[in-house]
This record gives sequence, C-alpha cells and structure tokens, in this order.
Amino acid sequence: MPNIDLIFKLAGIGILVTVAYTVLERLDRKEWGQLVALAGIAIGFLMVLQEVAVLFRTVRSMFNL
Amino acid sequence: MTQIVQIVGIGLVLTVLVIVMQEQRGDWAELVRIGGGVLMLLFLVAPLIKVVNDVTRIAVLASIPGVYLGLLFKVLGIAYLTTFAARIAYDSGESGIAARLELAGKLFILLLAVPLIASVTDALLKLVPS
Repeated sequence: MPNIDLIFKLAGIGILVTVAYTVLERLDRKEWGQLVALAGIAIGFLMVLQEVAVLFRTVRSMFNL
Repeated sequence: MTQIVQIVGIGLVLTVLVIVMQEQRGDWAELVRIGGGVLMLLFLVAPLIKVVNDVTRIAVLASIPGVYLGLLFKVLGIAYLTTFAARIAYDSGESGIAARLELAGKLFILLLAVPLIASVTDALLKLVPS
C-alpha cells in the first residue's frame, strides 16, 4: 500500500520554502532565498522521482515489459 | 469498496492543494501534482494485478496461447506508462511534448502488433487459391 504522506510532505515543504523565501526577501537576502527555493525544489523532485521509479518498476514487472 | 473512497479522497485533497499552491508558487504546485498523480496510479496497481491474474487464468481456461496474452499485457503497459507521462506534460502546458509522447506510445504498440498482422495476412493468403 503506497503512503499518502507524500502529498502532505510535498505540500508542507512547499509552504515552508515559500515562508522562508518571503522572510529572506524581507531581510534583503534575496540570493539566499533563491538558494533555499532551489534546494527545496531539488528535495521535492528527488522525493517525487523515487515514487515515479517505483511506479515504472511495478508496471514493468506487472506487464513483463 | 473502501479503496475507491480512498482514491477519490486523495483526488479531492490533491485538487485543493494544487489550487491553493498555484497562486503562491507555480513550481511547487507542479511537483505536488506529479507526486499526487504517481501516488494515485500506485493505488491502482493492486487492483490491476488482480485483474491481470484473473484474465490470465481465464485465458488459460480458454487455452489461448500465452504469446498473445503477453503481447496484450505489453501493449497495456506501454499505454499505461506513455499516458502517464503524456498527462504530466499536458498538465504542465506542454501539449506538443504530450502529443509526441502519445505518438511514440502508438508507434511502439504498432511495432508489437506488426508480427501479428503479418501472420494474419499470411493465414489469409494461404486460404486464397492463387
């Protein structure tokens, strides 16, 4: 059974990154904010990519591709 | 019965989340959309395995050669994967890439079907007295 937590994890990281970006922008540290946003996107993409890999593997083994 | 309720619930939660995040950060909405889509497809895997097993059993009862059934499942798998990828591209606003992905899927399905079509044509040609 796949876990539903992934969606909430992704959304939570997204909201956290948005807040951090806004705070850093207010503090005149825009380049740091962009760095944080980039790091967050990378982490999120890694999480999603793992699930995509699981899906591909499952489909390949199920249909003998 | 609980599973379909679960999947419908995930779909609704996902829709709300994506709508909320779309206004704040479009890139995160994209990530959440892809992740949720993969998750929903993963939920469909268990019922799909049941269907595949049952179809295989019925085909064995009807003594259909396993080659044809394997081909059918291969076609199904290709359709599943390409539709998934094409939908992601289409949702991201890249309808051109989506169209090319679907074209690739159709082409590879045709590639699998060509030997069958050839054998059917051969059988028909043998029936026709030359």
